[in-house]
Amino acid sequence: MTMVEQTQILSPTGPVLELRGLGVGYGRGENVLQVVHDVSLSVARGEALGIVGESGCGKSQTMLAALRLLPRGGRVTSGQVFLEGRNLLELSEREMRKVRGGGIALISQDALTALNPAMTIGAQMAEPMVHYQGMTRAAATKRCTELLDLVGIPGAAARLRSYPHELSGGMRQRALIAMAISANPKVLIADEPTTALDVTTQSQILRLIDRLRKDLGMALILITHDLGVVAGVTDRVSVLYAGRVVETAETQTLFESPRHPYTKALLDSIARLGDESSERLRPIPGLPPDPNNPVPGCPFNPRCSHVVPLCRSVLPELEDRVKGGSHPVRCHVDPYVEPARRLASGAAR
Amino acid sequence: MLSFIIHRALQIIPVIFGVTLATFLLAQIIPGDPADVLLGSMATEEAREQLRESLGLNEPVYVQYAIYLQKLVQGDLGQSFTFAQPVSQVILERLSNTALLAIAAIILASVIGVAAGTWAALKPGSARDQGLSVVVLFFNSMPSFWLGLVLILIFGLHLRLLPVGGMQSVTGGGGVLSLMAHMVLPTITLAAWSLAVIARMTRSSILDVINSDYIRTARSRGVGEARIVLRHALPNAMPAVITVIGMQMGFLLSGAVLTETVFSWPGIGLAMYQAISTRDIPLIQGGILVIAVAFVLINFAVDVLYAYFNPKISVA
Repeated sequence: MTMVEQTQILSPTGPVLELRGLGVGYGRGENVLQVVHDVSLSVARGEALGIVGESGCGKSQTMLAALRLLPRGGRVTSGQVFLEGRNLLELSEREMRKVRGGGIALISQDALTALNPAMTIGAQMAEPMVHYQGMTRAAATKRCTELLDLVGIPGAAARLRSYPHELSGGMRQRALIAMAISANPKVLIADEPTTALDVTTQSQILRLIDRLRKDLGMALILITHDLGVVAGVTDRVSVLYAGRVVETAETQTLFESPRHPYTKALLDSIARLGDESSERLRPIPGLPPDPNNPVPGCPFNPRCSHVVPLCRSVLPELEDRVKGGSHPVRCHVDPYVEPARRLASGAAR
Repeated sequence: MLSFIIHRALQIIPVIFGVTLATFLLAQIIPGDPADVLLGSMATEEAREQLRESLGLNEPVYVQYAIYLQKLVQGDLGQSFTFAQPVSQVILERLSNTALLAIAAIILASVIGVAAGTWAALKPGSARDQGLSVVVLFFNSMPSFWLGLVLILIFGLHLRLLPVGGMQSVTGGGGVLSLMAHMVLPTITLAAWSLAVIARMTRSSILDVINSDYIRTARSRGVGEARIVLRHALPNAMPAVITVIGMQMGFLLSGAVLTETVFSWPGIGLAMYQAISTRDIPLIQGGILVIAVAFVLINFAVDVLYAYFNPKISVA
């Protein structure tokens, strides 16, 4: 590592977590099933990054790979994962265990299945504190009570003795969040944290995650299939399609001037209040490609309304031809460049 | 939890009532006249009639059942023909011997079975996992009396390491050590089949839960692999395993008939074998009743344990 890179990584605005060219595959040899290709992402200290895409586009696989928690058969086929400059893929399993929880923490989508049904909330919350951080039981219980208070669970002391099935869905999600932040992680990965909840609870949980991120100075990676979820919470968004990043931009830029046809299509499929023109939702035609049967060229070409012959043969690079870096797009056509430019100049006037 | 236990305990009563009816009817269904067995074929008709009268065999069936129940609650299971003792006494003397063997076998089968199943589940598809599958298949397909005979042949006759029958050496005075030496082969024989079933069940239950989200949650919080398996996977896999262990305990009681016969172990099994071969119907009835009641009580204990490991059960 050169001196320049070193200072860049250790500077307060540098990335706390960075994925470089990460690939994830299942199986070995000829039959390897590539589900994530060359994904590069980074999140700075205190920053919130949204990762958006349809089900099966590799969002969760990417994050599990970063935590080295891929299911059996899955492995990282390429790339590096840096947490504060340390490549996690080179750590021993013992060192990696210390990273999990304290370095990177995970909130899964369905808190009912993500909590151990045979252990009380208190027992599972306190487990890493007592067995890996050397806290006494009394200290751990005190800390657990504080954490439950922090995430807004009333009657925390009594709740520690409850089993997961005795709590409501929103409370379970709060408990799961309390567990995730218990070791003061530097990066919090929230994998669809609101999918299993009703709409009112969803916004409460999102606000809670947002508040905790700001109060505790964590970086947040919010994985979702719902662009509406990232809108109020994240600073930047990366859009994934078929295991590849197709567009990354600041959240506001992405919503105002998306440049990839897939991002545009995703935005068009959201219902907006008071928007007469979108009375009918416009779903994206077709299905994402099957990883067993990859599409040649741009993976979105069968569903794209702007497709040109080049799209069917050559995979576009992820590059920014307009802004010089802050808004990279993986598209040959980049059909929304012109409207975006017009919008930018219009805003300047 | 307490209300669950009481509720479950009340369910036992009709089951036990049904068991008494079944054992009573059993004696009615078995062909042959007890008088023939007791008095032999040379007895006079008057003597037989007198015996039938004294045994109450001439009463209507429901009266016989009422008498049977009445005696049952007083602890009177009738008189064993072969042992010339009350059935209750025959069973009581042997119950502890069978229990000793069955408990030793279930402990052996559970401890080794759960350990082997867990060990195999840690690396599914590996050489050791496949090795375990072969051993499981071997133990499952082998009749226990055959295994008993092979063990006797190897350890008793060829290697002369262990005694081949009874509970104490004929010369006597062996004490606990001699008892333990006598227990080794019958315990292994009795445990083998159950051990294989328990190991297989443990393996598949752990593999069912090891991919659960909560396992991933625990891993994502830095919990080590040993704790993952012992504290998270195993307790969640236990309800299925405990059910199988409970069923195996029931099977062990019936399996004891063959094993005790092979090793001349003076338990209920051997007594039942002798009772069946001499048509000692009161003893057969009593033996079946005791085994069935034990089976019901074991199942009750299993359900309570099940509720302990799965807190959701006790709420329902």
